[in-house]
Amino acid sequence: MLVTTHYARARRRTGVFSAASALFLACAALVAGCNGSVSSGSSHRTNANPDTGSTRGPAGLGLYEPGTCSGSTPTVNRAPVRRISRLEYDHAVFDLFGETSSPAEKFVAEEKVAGFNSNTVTPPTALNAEQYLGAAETLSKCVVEGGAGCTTASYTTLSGCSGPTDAACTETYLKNLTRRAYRGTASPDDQQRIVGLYRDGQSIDANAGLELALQALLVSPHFLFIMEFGTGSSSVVPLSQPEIASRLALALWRSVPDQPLLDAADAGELGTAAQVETQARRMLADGTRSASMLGDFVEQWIGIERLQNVSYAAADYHADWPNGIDWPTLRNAMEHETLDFFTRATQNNGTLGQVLTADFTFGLSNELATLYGATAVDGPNVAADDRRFSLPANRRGLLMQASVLAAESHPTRPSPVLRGKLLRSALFCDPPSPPPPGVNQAIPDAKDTVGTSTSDLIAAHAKNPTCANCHQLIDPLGAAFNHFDAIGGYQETDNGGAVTTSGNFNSLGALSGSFTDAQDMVQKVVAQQSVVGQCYALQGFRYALGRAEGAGDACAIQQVYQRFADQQFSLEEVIVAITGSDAFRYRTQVTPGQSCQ
Amino acid sequence: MTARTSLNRRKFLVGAGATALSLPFLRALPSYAASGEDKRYLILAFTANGIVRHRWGVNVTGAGPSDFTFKDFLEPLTPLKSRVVVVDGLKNAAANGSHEAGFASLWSGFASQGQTSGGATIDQYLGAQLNAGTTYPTLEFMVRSPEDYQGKTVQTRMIYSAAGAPVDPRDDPDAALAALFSNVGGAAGAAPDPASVRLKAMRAKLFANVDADLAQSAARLCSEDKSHLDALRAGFATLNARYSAGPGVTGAACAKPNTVAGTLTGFALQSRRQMDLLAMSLACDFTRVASLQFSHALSPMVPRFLDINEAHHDISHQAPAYVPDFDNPDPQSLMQYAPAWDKLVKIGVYHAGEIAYLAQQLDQFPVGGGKTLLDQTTICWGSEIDNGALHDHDPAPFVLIGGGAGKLKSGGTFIRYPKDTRNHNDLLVTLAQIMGNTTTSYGDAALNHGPLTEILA
Repeated sequence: MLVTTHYARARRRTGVFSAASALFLACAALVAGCNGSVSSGSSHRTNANPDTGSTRGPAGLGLYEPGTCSGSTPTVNRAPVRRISRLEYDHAVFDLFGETSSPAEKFVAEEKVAGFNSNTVTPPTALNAEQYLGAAETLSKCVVEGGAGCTTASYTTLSGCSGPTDAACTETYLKNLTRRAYRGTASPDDQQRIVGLYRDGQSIDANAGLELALQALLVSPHFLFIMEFGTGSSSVVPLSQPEIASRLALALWRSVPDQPLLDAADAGELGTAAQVETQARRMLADGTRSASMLGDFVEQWIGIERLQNVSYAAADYHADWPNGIDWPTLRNAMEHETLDFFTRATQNNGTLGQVLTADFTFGLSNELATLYGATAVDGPNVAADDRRFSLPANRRGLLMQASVLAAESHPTRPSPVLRGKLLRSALFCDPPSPPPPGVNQAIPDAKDTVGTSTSDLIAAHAKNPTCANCHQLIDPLGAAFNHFDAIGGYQETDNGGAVTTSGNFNSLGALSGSFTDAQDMVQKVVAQQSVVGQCYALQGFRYALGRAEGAGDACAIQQVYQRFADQQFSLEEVIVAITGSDAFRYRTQVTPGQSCQ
Repeated sequence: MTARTSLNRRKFLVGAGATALSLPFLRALPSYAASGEDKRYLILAFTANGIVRHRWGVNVTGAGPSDFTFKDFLEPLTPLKSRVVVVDGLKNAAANGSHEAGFASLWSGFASQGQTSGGATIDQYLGAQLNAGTTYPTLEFMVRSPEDYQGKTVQTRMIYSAAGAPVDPRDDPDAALAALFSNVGGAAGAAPDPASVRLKAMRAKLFANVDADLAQSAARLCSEDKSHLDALRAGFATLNARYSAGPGVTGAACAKPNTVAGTLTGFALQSRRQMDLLAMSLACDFTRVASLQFSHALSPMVPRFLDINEAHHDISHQAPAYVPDFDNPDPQSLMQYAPAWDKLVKIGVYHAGEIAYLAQQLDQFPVGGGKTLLDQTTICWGSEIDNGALHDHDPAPFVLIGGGAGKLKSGGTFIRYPKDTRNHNDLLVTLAQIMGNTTTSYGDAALNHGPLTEILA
């Protein structure tokens, strides 16, 4: 995970991006006029030759086919019970106890479901229990007793009580804390259970009762799991308002609710889609909390969390950097640029098209600015993070940021295959099949093959029919970026060989035709924005709901997409639309003890 | 061109961190002296990205079976030579040409295409079969580098409790110390310290509460969802049983490990701490069966502490996938690939040093009869691949260290099985038989030929 949990990447609404948005009014008007529908076929993509002339689109978007949404009554797919993620745990203990050390970073990592972290597949083990217990014991001791190495706030600060033996005050604090920790869904019994432990534990000593109460809270299934029951007994029922408050806090902040959100649930102000969306907008306006969520989304969506797992001897490429640089420093600068850029775009009325085609960026380190050949637009009187940079003509938008390019490269070469796979999966929701077993995937070191460009190497894919079936879907998209070396610097030649970047959009439905290079490609993606727009709406859905979509979600997703398109593909509007959708506010009803299906 | 890197053997053996284990004249482990049981221990150890073939193995110096010295990669094992068996020539026939397939089949012997393991790994099988009544049926440790992938995938998980069911290793020494040794510390006969008494009393209440809390919530869920809460409830119940048992083994021999960092930091410090925790876990008889992985398959680790600033996996691809003879590369190849091979050997030597350190820590614990815990232990060290650039599994390199409770050939042994005669399933069966299990086959039946009797005493 790149995103730190104590909201260190807070972004203010500076309006700088919206000023920049004005530069794109002409483009925005063009986008608004685009009304392409996605033609899609009915069959899931197989390894059979896809170029049969059928009107197939990205297979992941079968939900958008005509006839998949008929209903006037809400339908939704089942939401399996989910255990909170490491990020959600760390944000919660920060919000509840001021804990800044991110204890959950050491927990077992989540699995990926539909591309995003989600603890819904493998049940927890004794090791998970051990980790939860250890964290709970450490946190409770730090809050109540303090001591060396503790990084929580003190009990008196958190509660306003004079100490653990201040019973009336403490019991009130514990009831409120339980409500907030359980994300609004605590029953009076749940609160009483925690208070009961506080009382019982005092038989051990004065602090033990309070420590036990806090521990019990932190290992409770109400905290560790998101359990939802809905209200009513038909097959699809509305979630209760506390359950909606819980979902809003998780989806928009990856944390627990604040008091205004809890109050809104109490007051019955989360009943309609409009009411939910009002809260969503309020919560997205909390720049600090939503920035952390947005960073968590983008690093998974566009794959830059993989930067932690790669390494480049940067000097191989840019030995002319004035003071030299080590890879971790350069990597941090790359991550910072992309998280900052995307968060800023979403929080300042930016659109998907702007993110993909922007001729500017923010907060570049000296090395990145040199790597890009970018010039600062704002002077030194503007804080470094807010400083806008103008990009040269050879670089545009999110996909040509060093972070994205470097996360999808080999040690000494760019990788059109990895980059193409990213685009196909993340932007078009049409992930390619993995390579067949036994295929030699070794990549020759650039030093051993001077004069051979990346284009030369992957030409073999097109010549071999077994390879070409899949690779014609992948390689052209990635090859468009061949002017960017392994760490994202611009190169005229590639390892001494010629750079070719032209290619075709293959089997992308309404997005068809050819492009000359990456800049041309992103312009065309945005010009036919329905394809990337439908996928982006789907990715946002998967992230916000923590599960894969299903047929029952088709209506909700189509409505979300329609709102997204109607609002010029505004990045904030799609999030709000998701929270107001039926999929967010309803659930399938189940019978305890019976199969969930 | 540089000469072969001169390696300071002592640096890897002694290390910069002293530990509480390095005390001379320890009392014999009371659990041994008391019970007289023949306790046997197994550790499966893993390092990534294969070996450098012409610098791994032995230099034969004479006609006798033990007339050899170790080549570079294994040089840190020299002081342990009489209890080392180098096993070359086995094929991992279950692996299909990738790091992932090699990793998933390394300890399971079930055919893998690289998606997951087709069955339980041998440690999980033996832990269940032995049913030794130890606190933990098995223990899994990992030394994690900052570059390692975080997810629970076929690339990161080495141990499987069943087909498709990976087991998470312990990669946090602080958490492992707290969890494994919370009942350990008091000297035999002394009154329990107040902090332990308090902790035990609080945990009794907490476990009772969380069990009731989970039961109450689980009852409201449909069955697939309920299974997740039931699993957590079972997890807490397991912890409760562990922690509410008595202090277990006491006395100076079984004590909380206290690794002194010295000049070690980062990965190197973490490694020493995990080695100390693992050795002491066996000394305290917490388990008979353990596993240890340094990073994971395709390790992306950048070992800056070795002055290497590239990823291990990347370097393994700088080495060649083809040379005329890997056992004896031609001068041209030697010159061309020396930088890559030297780096890989340096990383290999570091890991050999850590495994040697582990073995020597086990050797600190007398078990009576002039023997030590190392004599009762078999460490089986392997990798997910042979040549990192070629992604081959034939031959798959293995080194055994320890006495195997007298079942493993002693004196120092090197054996190279002829090509296409034996698979590594046979080694897994051999490990099982050393541990007293009578199985004659492990993993995919068709890949088995029976135990490697040549390496048994």
